[in-house]
Amino acid sequence: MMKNIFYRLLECYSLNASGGLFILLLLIAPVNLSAQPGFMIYADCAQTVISDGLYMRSAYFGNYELGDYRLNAGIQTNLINRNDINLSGYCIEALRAFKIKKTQIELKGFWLWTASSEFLKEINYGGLVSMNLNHFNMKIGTNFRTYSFRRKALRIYEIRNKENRVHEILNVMYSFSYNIKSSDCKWNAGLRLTNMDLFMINQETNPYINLNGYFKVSSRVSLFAEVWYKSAGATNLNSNYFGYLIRGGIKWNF
Amino acid sequence: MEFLMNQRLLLMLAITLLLSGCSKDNIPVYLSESVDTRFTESMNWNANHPTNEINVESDDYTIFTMADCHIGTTSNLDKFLNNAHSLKPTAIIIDGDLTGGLSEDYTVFEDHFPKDYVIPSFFLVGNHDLWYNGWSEFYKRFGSSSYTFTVRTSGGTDLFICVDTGGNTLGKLQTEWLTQILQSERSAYRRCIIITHINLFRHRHTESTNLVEEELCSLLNLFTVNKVDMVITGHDHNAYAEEFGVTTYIQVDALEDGLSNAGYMKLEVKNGILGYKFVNVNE
Repeated sequence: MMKNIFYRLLECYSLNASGGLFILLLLIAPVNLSAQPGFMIYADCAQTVISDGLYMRSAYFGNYELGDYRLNAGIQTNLINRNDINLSGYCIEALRAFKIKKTQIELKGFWLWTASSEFLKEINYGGLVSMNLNHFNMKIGTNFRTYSFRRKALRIYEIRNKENRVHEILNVMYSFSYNIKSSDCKWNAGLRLTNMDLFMINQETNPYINLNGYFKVSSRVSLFAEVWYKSAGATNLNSNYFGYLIRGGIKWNF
Repeated sequence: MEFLMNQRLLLMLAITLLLSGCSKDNIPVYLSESVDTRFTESMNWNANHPTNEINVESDDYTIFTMADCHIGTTSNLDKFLNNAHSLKPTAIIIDGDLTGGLSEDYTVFEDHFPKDYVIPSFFLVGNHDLWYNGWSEFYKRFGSSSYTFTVRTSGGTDLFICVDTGGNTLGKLQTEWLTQILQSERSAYRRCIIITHINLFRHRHTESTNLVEEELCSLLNLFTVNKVDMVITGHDHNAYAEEFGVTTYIQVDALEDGLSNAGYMKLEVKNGILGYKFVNVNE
């Protein structure tokens, strides 16, 4: 019965078995200690060379923390965009934190659905390991990606099933951050080199740079902001400006 | 001490990843001109050179496409040109990375390319061609890298659009140009084939860089909506074909000397049906 429900869920959400299993394993691990829900909301204002002007998005994340375990779920919506779609992404993440000696480690499994247009969607799933040092944070992991067409495109362009998918396996994901203050300070600012964002994963050869910072208004509420510089072709030694993104948001732990 | 070691390890990893696109003989040589600058110069060149229209008597024709010969040495380039000379395709396409960007490489390439070549030849710039201010060398020898040409047969006319992705992005102006052509002109042609250097899909792990995610998705959408039949690329040095929606995405092998898989592709059009064949020059 449970097995059927599990596979039905996978089918409904186009999640393949290995990706689903990865997240499920993290979810069913034993939990204890006190629970803490949280919420995060942010808005992006961005422009790229292909975006036909400014576009704006917002994202909403809820999380639920139980001891060393955390479950995140989020959606991304378009506020201003040339593409005629409102919901442009949703994701679910399961995390487990632990320590090796004095180093804080976090394991994350994730599943991410994004739509770049009314015709095209993308599904990513994978895992990340994160290591926190005093001023440094490093994340490294892998993702499996599938580009596919949405139902509307299948219908209009009469796309056959065998032409509907392109897979990429074991892509590399990374993020290297340096913060000027230690992670327990009231405010912080840092620089990050990464090929991923919450609703986007670039190829490993396309890193973006972002400046980021936060300010803890209280023990439960913090404000954060990021400025991204997007370039194309940096690792081919042909760097061209591609775009920028400005993000502002709030995190609230209840 | 352990903390300092960890920090050094992280820094080393970050630098290694950042430079993962460098081959052994590379040093960082960043572009002096943007893709928009190159596109503007290409449009200036196009304004003084009419669109190439090739007429074919029957409804069948063949186009040879090669990429990534990376001069240096010219053994495989000579084989390719000899094959073209004897088999007489309708046209040949040189899809980027002719050289490593050095002026002397361009000179070697030009010396090996027959001056009185009667087969229509179309050149595109690749990322390596742009190093060491290579665009000026490319431009003065071959001209535009963003242009169209057509092949008119007894059964219909096919549109070929050559796009400059040497800088790993089409850039704003070229994207607008491509979009405008596809939206306003595509329907007037039987087939539409796009040729560019950077491969779109990444079917294996390599050091080479592809388009960023947002741009890739935008192009996949554009090609689908406008029913582009085929996209031909190089860059990855490895032959590959993928049907995605209404479009076939092709990568051709590198023609570089010393590679066991060195080769090119024959685009064969028969009664309006597109076909392709990869040819290994070592066999």
